[in-house]
Amino acid sequence: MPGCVDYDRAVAWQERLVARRFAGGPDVLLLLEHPPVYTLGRNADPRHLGPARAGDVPVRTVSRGGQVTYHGPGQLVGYPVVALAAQGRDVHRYLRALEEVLIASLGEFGIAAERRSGFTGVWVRGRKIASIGIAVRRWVAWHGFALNVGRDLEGFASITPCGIHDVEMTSVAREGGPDDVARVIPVVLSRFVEIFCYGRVAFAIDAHAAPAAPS
Amino acid sequence: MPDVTMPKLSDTMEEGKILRWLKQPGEKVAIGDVLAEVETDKANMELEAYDEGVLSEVRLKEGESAPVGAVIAVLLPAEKGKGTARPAAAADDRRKPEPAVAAKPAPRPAEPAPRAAEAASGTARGEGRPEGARESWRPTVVGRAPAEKDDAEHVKASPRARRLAREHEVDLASLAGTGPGGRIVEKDIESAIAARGTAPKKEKEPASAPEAPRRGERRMELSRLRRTTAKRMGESKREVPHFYVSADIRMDDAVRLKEALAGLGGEFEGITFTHLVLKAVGVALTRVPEANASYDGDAMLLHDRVNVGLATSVEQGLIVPVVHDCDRQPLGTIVQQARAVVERARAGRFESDDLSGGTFTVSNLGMYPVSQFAAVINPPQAAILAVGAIREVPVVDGERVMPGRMMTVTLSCDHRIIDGVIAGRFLAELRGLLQRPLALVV
Repeated sequence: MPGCVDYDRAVAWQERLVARRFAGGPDVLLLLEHPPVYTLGRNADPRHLGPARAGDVPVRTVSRGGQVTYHGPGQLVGYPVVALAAQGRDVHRYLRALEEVLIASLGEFGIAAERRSGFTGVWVRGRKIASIGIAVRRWVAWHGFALNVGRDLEGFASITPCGIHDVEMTSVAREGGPDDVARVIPVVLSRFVEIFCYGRVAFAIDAHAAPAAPS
Repeated sequence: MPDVTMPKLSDTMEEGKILRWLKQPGEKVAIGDVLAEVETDKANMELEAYDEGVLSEVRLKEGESAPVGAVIAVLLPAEKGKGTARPAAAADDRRKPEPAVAAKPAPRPAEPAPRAAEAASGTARGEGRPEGARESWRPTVVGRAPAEKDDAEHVKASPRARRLAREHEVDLASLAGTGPGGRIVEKDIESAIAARGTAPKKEKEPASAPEAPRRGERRMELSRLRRTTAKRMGESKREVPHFYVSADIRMDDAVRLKEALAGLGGEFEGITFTHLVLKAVGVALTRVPEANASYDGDAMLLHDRVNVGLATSVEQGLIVPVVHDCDRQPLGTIVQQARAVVERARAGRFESDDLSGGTFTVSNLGMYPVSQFAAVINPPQAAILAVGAIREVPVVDGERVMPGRMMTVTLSCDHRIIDGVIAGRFLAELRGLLQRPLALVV
């Protein structure tokens, strides 16, 4: 697919969407790929970055939860900007719902994925296929998930993903699914819409004018 | 005095960890200020102040955890009357019973005065993000200056300049001011008038004994540009064996996407369907490179770069400013480049490669009630795409008929190097991209 979205730019988009959401704007799901980048959650241990720190790949410290991770081509990154007010004001429930979106999507490709208690993310037979890390500002969630799609997982090689030692990563392609992010996008999108019960969607970017229900 | 307690971010949350304090003891706090970042599981929450005052005590160090509801900091009331002026919406929160307030989640989006909430958020986010970082990713003022006509009101200009411009019908938006801060001053208008005065003169070359117009006719000399267009279009139609292939494209998703992107602003500000078409054409041409070619005697040249020209009407005729690398550039960049290059073209201020290097052309009449048309190829290019308006039409979906949005495009091809199959493949790719346009953004 031509072009990826630079990490900093995606953050800027989200900032803007979060502000719009405060002002009564819609919930939005951004689905995209990044050029290679390492990101550290606020309380990440920089040592988990390992030798990657000295490499050419840029490193960003970000406001999401979670530890060190890698983004790069072949990985579908999803940034839902969602008002949790309409989703029950429950951060954990929201994290579980994101996992559910990914598990259901992977199911469509015949991949049996699961949760691992105490380790947010999505796993396939003990290997991690998707990472999740979010931030919440005034009950609007942003940041999101990263689903490994392509076979190439080299970017993770030098780091300690998510701060979990000896974690092995896997991907949709390695588990027998498609290795094309473009083929995964519509599946994730439709599962997201289904699980979050959106009535009207105008694409990944935009649109369910969520009734910002004061619960 | 209000205590700040560990917020409950989830029914299943038992304790939360302070990742960092954004306010230090002794600091003044306004309603809506972010006091700290709190983590639970893999979620970071910005903890906001629901009261104003001075942070007097912080009971938890960064990295430490506390159970939900535990007091983590204490706010002392600020001096009366000196409190930060806050919008009315926020003032409502202040009146709520204190203990409840401190533990209660943030203001809801549905509460009154969302504008105020937004404004507050702008000042309250103390994430160590340098001020202006938000702007910095915007394309650096590519052709930002002269914008749409409605911008005339917002153009910075002195009152005298405005009056002069009105009198002489100079479009303020088309000028770059030389006054302080780009303000348009009288001098700018004068030089614009002067430039206008000379420009048409140049075009009035010694007309070779024009025929005297008959009664009921008016003779208008063609501008140089128009003469070039006339010559080249004539050559094209005489020399190039054109054939035409049309396709209908469902635009429902593209319409929604365009609206959504327009709302996103930033580099998508001013996005039009033309930009989506440019990007889609760029990508389609990489998939069907035979259409990104030109005829060259006994050979055809296949171009590596995908530079799409945009047929643009200007006062003196037709020009084709080029948007380079439509295949590789992100959509937002294409939006800005296309706007800038068209703007420069209209203002007659081209930059060196604005008009060169085109490998394909798009002509869009979608702003008129044109359902479809066929364009004349811009030699030596192999093809040109004519884009009609998006119409509301009945669409058959299985057994139902439903309203849909349709756009008809027509590809004119040079039959010396392109056959119907190539045209068909190109249109199939283009159609696929525009009907599932998400891939154009990523």
